[in-house]
Amino acid sequence: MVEQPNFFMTDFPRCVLTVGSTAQTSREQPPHEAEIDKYSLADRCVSAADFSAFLRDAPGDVDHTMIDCIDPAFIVHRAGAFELRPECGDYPMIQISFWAAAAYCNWLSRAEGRRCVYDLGSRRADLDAGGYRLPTEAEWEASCGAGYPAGAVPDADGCNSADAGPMCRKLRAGETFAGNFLPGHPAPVPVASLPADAAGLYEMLGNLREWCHDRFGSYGPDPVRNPRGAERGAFRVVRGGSFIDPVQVLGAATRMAAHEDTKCEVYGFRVARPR
Amino acid sequence: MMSTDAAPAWSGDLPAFTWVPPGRSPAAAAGGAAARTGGFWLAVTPTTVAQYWRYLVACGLTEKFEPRLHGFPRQGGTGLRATPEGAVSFDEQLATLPVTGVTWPGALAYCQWLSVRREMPCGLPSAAEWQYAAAGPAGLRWALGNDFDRKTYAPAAAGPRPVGGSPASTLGLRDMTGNVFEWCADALVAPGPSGGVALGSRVIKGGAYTVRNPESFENVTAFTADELSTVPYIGFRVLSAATGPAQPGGGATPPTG
Repeated sequence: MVEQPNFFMTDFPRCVLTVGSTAQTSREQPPHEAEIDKYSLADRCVSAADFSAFLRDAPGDVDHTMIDCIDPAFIVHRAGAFELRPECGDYPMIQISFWAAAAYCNWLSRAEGRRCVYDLGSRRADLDAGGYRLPTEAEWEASCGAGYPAGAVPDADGCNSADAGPMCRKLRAGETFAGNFLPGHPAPVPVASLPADAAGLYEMLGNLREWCHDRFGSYGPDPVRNPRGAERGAFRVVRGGSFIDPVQVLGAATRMAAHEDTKCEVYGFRVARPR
Repeated sequence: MMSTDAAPAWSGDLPAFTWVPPGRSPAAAAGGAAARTGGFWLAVTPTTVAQYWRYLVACGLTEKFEPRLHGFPRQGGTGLRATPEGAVSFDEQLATLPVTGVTWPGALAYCQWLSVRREMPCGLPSAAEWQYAAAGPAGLRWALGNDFDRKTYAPAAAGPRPVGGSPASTLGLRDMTGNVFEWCADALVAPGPSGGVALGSRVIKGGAYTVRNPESFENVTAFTADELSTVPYIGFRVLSAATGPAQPGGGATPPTG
């Protein structure tokens, strides 16, 4: 019996939105129109406890090139097996590559009898398979825009950015040495520990940069339908900024990129699937 | 140049050492001032699978599982395998890989065994000693130079590679940069009352095939990891406390046992 994940899927309708912005860097330009089909997005990031359940159930699905157990980390590897560190289950899963996140999505798909989206051997994906996957960056942007309508921004205590307020900082992992983060240092807060946004989603901005499905590529000016990223390349889009990013760069449209094999304490993920 | 006829000295059943001369060593990872070191012997390579296997055999540790000392994968590929019965199995064709899957206490236990075997005090280098040895007399940023050369220092790999595959440093050390991280003596201590709080992690140095950023491989960079970690990207290298380069037995290495 596999324990239930700690997140809930939130439904979003088909929509047409303006993707991109002129407010930040050239990466978000030019703004252009995107039409996306309806989808569901997890209300919070996958927690260390969620990921640990996957590792216990399917330890052969990831290898050590996909998950890093160097400090800071909520999961270590002792006596030949992955192990959740004490008092770390509620923090978001970190130190995982894009493909470790993809492996988790496949595991969820199998558990629900859905077709797997990712083929880890060939590093290909079939987004039409119907299973769990990472959100496309357009989906992520539409969801975040719904959570922060008209450019609203979270207050300092409601967003774990580099400029987080004192109430937020108290929740950071380092205050209890969780994962061997150290007191007074930037660190993640537990999933869903800060107020939800207007769309009912937790920690979309700040806390962790979230892996998206898309390979990173430049935007074009033309309207697009269900954009899925560049055809080639080893860099994936990460969205939302993290506990090390200044609050003024966080926003629904802000784009960053990360090499898909990178494992770092500032990258986490939430899952999506078709409705 | 190394002769191709004979096996290199560092590929034996026991680690071979090179002399790291006296000088000013950097401040310890946990803080404090730079200090003078009187010099020490440091193993030319990380401890190999063959060397660790010899220790397991000598100590009668091949037939039972010792989770405090090590944990090996079932599927193999790193030289030592866990059998379904809980024993350890040796893949001889992978004998020259750096041993991995050994915990920090496990690395220390090997050093203690070697101390007796070689009649010389052995241990793990401190992070400062490791950094001092890696930087060499020129004070290099990486063990082999100041310009990060990924192909030489840290070629892409899915696992550990045989030791000695990259050039020697000025002091004759190999595999300091890249391949696998190496356990150092230092504990991770969080600031706190009465000297701080030990968090059960130890310093690791040198980078590994699992990391990418050039900064992760720099001599000065120190990561830490859970001291009971059994992962295929952390190994260790033995230090022997100094009795000076004019060691009985002479030559470039201390006497063999």
